[in-house]
Amino acid sequence: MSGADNSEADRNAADRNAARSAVRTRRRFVKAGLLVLYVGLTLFVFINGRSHTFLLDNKSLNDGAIPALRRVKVFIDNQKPIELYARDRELLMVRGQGHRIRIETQDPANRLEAKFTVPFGNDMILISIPKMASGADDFWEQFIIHYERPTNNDAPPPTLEEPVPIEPTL
Amino acid sequence: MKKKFDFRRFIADNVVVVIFLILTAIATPISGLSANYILQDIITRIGRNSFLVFSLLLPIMAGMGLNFGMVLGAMAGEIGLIFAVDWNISGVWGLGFSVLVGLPIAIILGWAAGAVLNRAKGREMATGYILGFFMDGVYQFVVLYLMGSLIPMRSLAITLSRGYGIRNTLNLDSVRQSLDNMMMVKLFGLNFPVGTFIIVGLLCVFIVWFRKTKLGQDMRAIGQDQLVSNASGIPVETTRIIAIVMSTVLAMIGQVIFLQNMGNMATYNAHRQTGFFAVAAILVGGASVTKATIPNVFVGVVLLHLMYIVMPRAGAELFGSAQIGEYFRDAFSYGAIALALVLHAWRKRRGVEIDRAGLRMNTVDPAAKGGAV
Repeated sequence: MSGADNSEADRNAADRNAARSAVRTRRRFVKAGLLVLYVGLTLFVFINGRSHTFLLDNKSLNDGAIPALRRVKVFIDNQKPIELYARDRELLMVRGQGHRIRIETQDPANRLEAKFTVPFGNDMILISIPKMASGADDFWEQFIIHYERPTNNDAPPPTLEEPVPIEPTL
Repeated sequence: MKKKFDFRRFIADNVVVVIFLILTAIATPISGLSANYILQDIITRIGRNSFLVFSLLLPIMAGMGLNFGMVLGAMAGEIGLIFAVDWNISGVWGLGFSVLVGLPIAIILGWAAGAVLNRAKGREMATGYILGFFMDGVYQFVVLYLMGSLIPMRSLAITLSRGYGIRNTLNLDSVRQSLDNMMMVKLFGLNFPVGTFIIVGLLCVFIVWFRKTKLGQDMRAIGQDQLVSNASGIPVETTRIIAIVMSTVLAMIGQVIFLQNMGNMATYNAHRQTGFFAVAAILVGGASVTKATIPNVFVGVVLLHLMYIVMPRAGAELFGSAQIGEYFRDAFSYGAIALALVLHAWRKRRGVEIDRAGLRMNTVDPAAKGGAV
C-alpha cells in the first residue's frame, strides 16, 4: 500500500469520527431539548390545571361595619352567575391561578369588577362579597380547615363486654 | 391462482371468535336487555378499554407474545392519578398531568421489564406475568408506606388516618369522565365520547404509521426470526426493549383513560386485572400470540364486553341468580386465553411436524400448516 492510500484512509477515518461526534452532539441536544420540553409542559399543566375552591360569602363583617348585601349576582370567570342573598355562602370550584370576579347589585344598582391571583399553595379561598362591594382590596383571604387526626387517646375506653383483641394469624 | 375458500379452515383459524359469537348470540336474547342499552354500554366500553388493549400490539409485533407486564404501565398511570388528585388538578388537565407524571415511571419500568424479558427469551409471557406480581409488591410498598411519609402528600382526604399511605379507594371526582365529556355527541339516542374516540383513532394512525418506519420494520423482522434479524444487523435486544417500553407507556395512558371513565380507583387492586382483561379481549378478537391487528382489538373489545354485559342478566334469567352469569363470564374469559394459548402451541407443533415431514419427502405444503409460524 502506498503512502497516498494511507493518508486517504486516515482522512476517511477522521471524517467518519467527526460525523459520529456531530451525530452524538446533535442527539445530546435533542435529548436535552426533550427533557426541557417535558419539564416545561409538566409545570405548565401543573400550574394551569390546579383547582381551587372559592367560598362566596355574603355575610356582614363581624364588627358590623359592612352589612351583607340584600341580593347580589356574582360572576366568576366564564362560569354561570351565582345569586346570593344576605347571609348566604356558596361553594365554587375554579381552575387556574388568575381569576376575574364581577358582582352586580340592584338596590342600589351597581356593578363592580376585580381581578386577583390566588397564591399557588392555597386550596380554599374565602371571598367576602360585602367587602368587595365596599371597595376594599383585601376582599379575599385564604380559608384554612384545621383538621386533627384522631389519636388512640380519642378512642372510647374498652368495656367489659368487648372481646380481647387477638392478633390475626395466617 | 385464486385460493378456494375453505370453511373448515376459516373456523379453525377463528375458533375463539366463533365460540364467543355463538355464546353472545345465545345469551343476548335471554338477557332481555334492550338494544339501546347494550349499544350504549358497548360504546362506553370501547372508549374505556381499547387504548389498553392497543398497548399489546407492539410486543406481539416484536415476537414477545402477550405483554402481561403491561400492569407495570397501569401502576405508573395510577401513581400519576394519585398525584393529580393530591394536587387537585382537575379535568383534562388532571389527566394530562397524570400522564406526564406516569411517563418517566412507565419508561423506567418498561426498560427494566424489557431487560428482564431479554434474559428470558421464549418465556416472555410467564416472566411478564410474574414481573407484574413482583412490581405489585413494590407498588404497594410505595403507595402504602412511602406516600405520606417519605413522599410528601398534601391532601388529607386521600391519605389514611394514620398519616401515611393512600386510602383503599380513591375518589376521582376531579377528573371523572373529563375526557369523555369533552366532546360528547348525542346521536340516535346514544352518547358517543368523541374525544376519547379521537385519541384512540390517533393511536390507530400512529400504529399504522409506526409499522412502516425503520423501527417498526425491525420489530416485525425480529418477530419473524430473531437470529436472522441479528445476522442482518438489527439490534434485537434494544428493539425488544423499545417495544416493551412503548407498550408500558401506552398501558399507562390506557389506564388513565380507563380510570377517568370509571370515576374511582381501587388503589391497590385496579391494575391487577388490567393485563388479563386486555389479553382476553385481544385473543377473543382473533389475535394470536404471534399475530395481532387493529381490527382484532375492536372485535375483541366488542365481543368480550358484550359478553360481560349480557351474561349476568342471562344468568339471572336462566338460573335466577346473576352470580351464575358472573361465573360464566369469568370462566369463558379465562377459557378464551387458555384456548388461544393451546391453539397457538398446537399450531406451532403441527407446523414443525409438517416441516419435518416435508424435509423427508422434499415437499412442504404451507397451507397444511394451518397458519403456523
